[in-house]
Amino acid sequence: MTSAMEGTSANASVAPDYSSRRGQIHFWLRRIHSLAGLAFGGFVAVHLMINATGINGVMYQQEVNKIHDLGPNLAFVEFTFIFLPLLIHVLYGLYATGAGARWNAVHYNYGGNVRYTLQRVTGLILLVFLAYHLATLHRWGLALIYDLTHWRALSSFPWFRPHFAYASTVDAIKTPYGKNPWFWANIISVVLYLLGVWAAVFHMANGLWTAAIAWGLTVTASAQKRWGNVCLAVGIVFAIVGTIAWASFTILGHPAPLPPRHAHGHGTMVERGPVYSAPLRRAIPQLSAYSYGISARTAIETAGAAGRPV
Amino acid sequence: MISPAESTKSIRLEILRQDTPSSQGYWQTFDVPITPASNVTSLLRTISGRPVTSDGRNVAPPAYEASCLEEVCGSCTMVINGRVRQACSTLVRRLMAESPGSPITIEPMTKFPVIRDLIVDRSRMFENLKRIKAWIPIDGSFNLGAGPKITPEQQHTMYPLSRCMSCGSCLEACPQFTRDNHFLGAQIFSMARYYNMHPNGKPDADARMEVLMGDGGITDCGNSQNCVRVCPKDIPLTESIGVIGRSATVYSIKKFFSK
Ligand code: HEM
Ligand code: SF4
Ligand code: FES
Repeated sequence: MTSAMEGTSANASVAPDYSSRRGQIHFWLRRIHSLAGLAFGGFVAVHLMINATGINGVMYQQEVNKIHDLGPNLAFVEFTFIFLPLLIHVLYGLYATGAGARWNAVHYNYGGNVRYTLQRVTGLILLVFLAYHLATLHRWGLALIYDLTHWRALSSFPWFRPHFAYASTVDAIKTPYGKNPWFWANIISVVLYLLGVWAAVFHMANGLWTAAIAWGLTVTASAQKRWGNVCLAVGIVFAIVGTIAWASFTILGHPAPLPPRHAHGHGTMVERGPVYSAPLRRAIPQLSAYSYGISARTAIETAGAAGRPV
Repeated sequence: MISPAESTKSIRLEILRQDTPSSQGYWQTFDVPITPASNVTSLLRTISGRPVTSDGRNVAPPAYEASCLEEVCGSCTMVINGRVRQACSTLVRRLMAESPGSPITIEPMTKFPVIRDLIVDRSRMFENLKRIKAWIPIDGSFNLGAGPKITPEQQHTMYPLSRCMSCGSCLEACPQFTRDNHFLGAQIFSMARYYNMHPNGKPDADARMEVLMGDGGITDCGNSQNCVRVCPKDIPLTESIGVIGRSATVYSIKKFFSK
């Protein structure tokens, strides 16, 4: 017996190395992709909860103020905990979606396979949605290009204005393309946001389920089922939270007049507050002037009735 | 023409044929008499006895494999009405209930190279078994004595895993397993789990983990879980995938800190 064991150990040590370096790297990429997905999912959960406060514009503004009071640290937080994980996750996610897989949920229409397919479909929907969402609302989207080039066509970005949080969000989602909410482009925006929220919630909840298998947390069929029910519950809760958030700025959203960007004579950037990180400020001198604006709270007070009165 | 006595029931079969490994596939239609107990292998055998298509042409009989005729060898695995199954245990009656009125379509498995008609080359599975050392060492030039004991509890877990007949159904149904990648697939994860549990297979467990965490290994599983749904031997493949995922987590930590 003992000798049998020794015999095999010896075999193992001289065995040809089938595991390529490439495969090992791939293994770690996949695990990091999983962690990044979970980290980003955590952000999405918080993001949806904060946005659900949009049913009350003042409450929403207070939440936004809390975030923007992070000042220059906000950029660090955003980069480390949101954009970096998202970037890693999306890059590997696109690879995993495209890597020669043959979707077959038509012939094998089992629940698991439908979820597998939806995980990839929602990933692609999210790619489109997040690109649009970030480009238009975030200050690192088209607004960053405007900051660097002063290209007039982009002067309306970012659509989200922290000091007029509620009114600017409604404008950015419900009526970005003119005052008439029934204009087709506005309707597409509203529908895209609902689709984006639901896609994110499904992808997040189902990702929670697959991550547990990938890491070997859930092993038996019954454990996978049990955890699946937890994920389903998480999904339902966040689908409700997300839908409330969506409704706050769309069907329940009241458009309010927004002050023009130059209202306070400090240039567009003043109202953004100190949001750029120190290294970025040093690297791009133009930005440093903008970075020391008035604080978020002062701005909302100054803006007064121009902000969304609720 | 079928005589009136036999013509009580016949069914139309559409078979995807291919003459050589490199030639193009083409469909041929046959009308075959059936009995209540007909299975797909028996229909193929009937066609072989009289290989005449529905439009009356004499053709070479479709080539197919079958051996045990009782769903234990896996050789007759093919794609029937769009789903992978064993021809010998697929009852025509069931197929007719599944899609009443429509013909039965029969194709070779799509994830393995076709040799001829319904016969495919599944040697990739055997190569993969070799890659993960799916064996336990037995006596060599001298007697190693009696093997270690396996408890009934271990046996309870291991026996279902040992039933794999390498039919390839789990791989055929897996969206991550394609002809041009080198994903190992559910069968291999389950066999690796089996041999890692086996007292005599344990010494090679680390070597197996190296392969399973390498190219085409557990990394590429996308959790569609089709494998467990189509496996004719009811092997808990998704549990095996979870076990290998857990072993990979543990092994990677172990390797990081102590190898
Ligand atoms: C924007 C484009 C995105 C793409 C293309 C994408 C793609 C993917 C793919 C293909 C998987 C399955 C990986 C596998 O099982 O092998 C996956 C898993 C996952 N995704 Fe995404 N995703 C995207 C965005 C997101 C977002 C917005 C979230 C958070 C809400 C997220 C969270 C997750 C989680 C938690 C997993 C599970 C990881 C695991 O199975 O271990 N993803 N993603
Ligand atoms: S695990 Fe099941 S489906 Fe896969 S090869 Fe073995 S018997 Fe066939
Ligand atoms: S002939 Fe052996 S499984 Fe069908």
